[in-house]
Amino acid sequence: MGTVRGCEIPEDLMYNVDNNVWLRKEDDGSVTIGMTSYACALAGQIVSYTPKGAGKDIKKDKSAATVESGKWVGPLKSPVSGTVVSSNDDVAKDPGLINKDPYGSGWIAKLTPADFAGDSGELKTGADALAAFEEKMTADGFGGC
Amino acid sequence: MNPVVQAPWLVVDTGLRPADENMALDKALLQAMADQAIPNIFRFLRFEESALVGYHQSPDQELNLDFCREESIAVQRRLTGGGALIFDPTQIGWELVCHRDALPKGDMAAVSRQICLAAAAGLSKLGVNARFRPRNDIEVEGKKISGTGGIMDGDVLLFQGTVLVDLDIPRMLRVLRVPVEKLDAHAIASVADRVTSLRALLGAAPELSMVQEALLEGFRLHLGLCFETGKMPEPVMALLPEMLTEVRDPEWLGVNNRARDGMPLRKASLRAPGGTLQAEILWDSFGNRVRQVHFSGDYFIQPRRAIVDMEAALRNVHLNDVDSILTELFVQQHIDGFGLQAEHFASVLRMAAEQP
Repeated sequence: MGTVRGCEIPEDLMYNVDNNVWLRKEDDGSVTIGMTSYACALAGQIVSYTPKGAGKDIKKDKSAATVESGKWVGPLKSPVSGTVVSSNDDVAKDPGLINKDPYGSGWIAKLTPADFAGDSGELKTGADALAAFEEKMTADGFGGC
Repeated sequence: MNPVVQAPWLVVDTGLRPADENMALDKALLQAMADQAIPNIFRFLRFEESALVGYHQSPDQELNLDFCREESIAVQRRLTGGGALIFDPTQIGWELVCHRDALPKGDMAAVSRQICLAAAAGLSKLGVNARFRPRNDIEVEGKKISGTGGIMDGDVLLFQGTVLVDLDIPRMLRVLRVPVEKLDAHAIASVADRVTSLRALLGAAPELSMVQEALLEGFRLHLGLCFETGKMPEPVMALLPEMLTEVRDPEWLGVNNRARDGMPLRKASLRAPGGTLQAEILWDSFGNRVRQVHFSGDYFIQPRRAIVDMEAALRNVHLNDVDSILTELFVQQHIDGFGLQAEHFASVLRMAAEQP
């Protein structure tokens, strides 16, 4: 498990660092996406979650769900284009799961990607992702998780 | 705090408008800012009489829609978070639309805090002792005078607030669902203990222009912003028709629609060493959340504002988090309930939540 300023950044996931989202390619070809621990630290306790419904087509870098914390609303932008397969019913009931387990039970959406190879080229992983998050945290003036 | 050095913000007063136009302008501002087509904006806005729910709220659960229909009160959904509120032409809305780097660095709570401190400093110029109350309110002597909320989309943010210049509490209670069983004089007095207006504090409502200038001065002093006044930029007005179509679509208002009986009013009483405590709550049975709570009963508590602060801290919280929030507040504020402890408040909330 990689760590940047106390924030867990698993090195086996792919990231859109600017949008602070992670992506995992599943064995069946689908992708799971979610908020990074860094995004959770910036947002604070998540209190609401409204996902796009199953069957909705989402373009790359467009909202797959919105979350709310401390009266701030923000979209979670999908790192790839695709069709929503499912949203997370457990998170709908307890949005705080996103904070507690952002890379596990707090996932945001599962999608069937439209063009994974084309869309995923700019995503970062491994040491590149850690370096990019370090740079982003510096730019954001972020002290640590 | 260190002021942020930057180009002047454009101050735009969009005047009195229907709620859908104000929401559409918010959408257009966000889009134009993301397109890098406009400078940082400080907007003043006013509303024809409206009831606005927060982005994730359901109008059926939060509002008395029959009353809104009978009284021709517009119902709209904000882009920002937080709770339902009423707007009428006496109230002033203010909002900042900018890129993230135009404001002090830090997490979202820190950004909210700095903006609210600036707005409080401004309102204090009018002769009231306005202060920031976590998480996102501005209060005077324990009574809320301004609520706020924001949206962060990429590196673009919009943060907005209200100023209660005047307030019709009985009408507010007919529009908004509140955690009280009867809308009687007691309920009105109870709300008057928790919410105030510039008119109530100053004896007369100040001119809108005075309030606007005071707010700008607060942002000048606290955040080092500088301003120039102008018209809404053309890229925003060009987007307005498209955004109006979006917010007039029933899907926009109904995106989070949930049945009213999914958020019942429940109450419970508890006899404890320090007295009798009653809690009335609007209970989100789907999410196991206390959406709003109103405490009453026969007890003494110090400081006096402890009850109001507890109610504010307990808005929209998961039942599992109630104990820790109350315990922390009791320690932070040195609350003395003369026998009533944090666990008694938590217990009565759980009892109310578990009512059949």
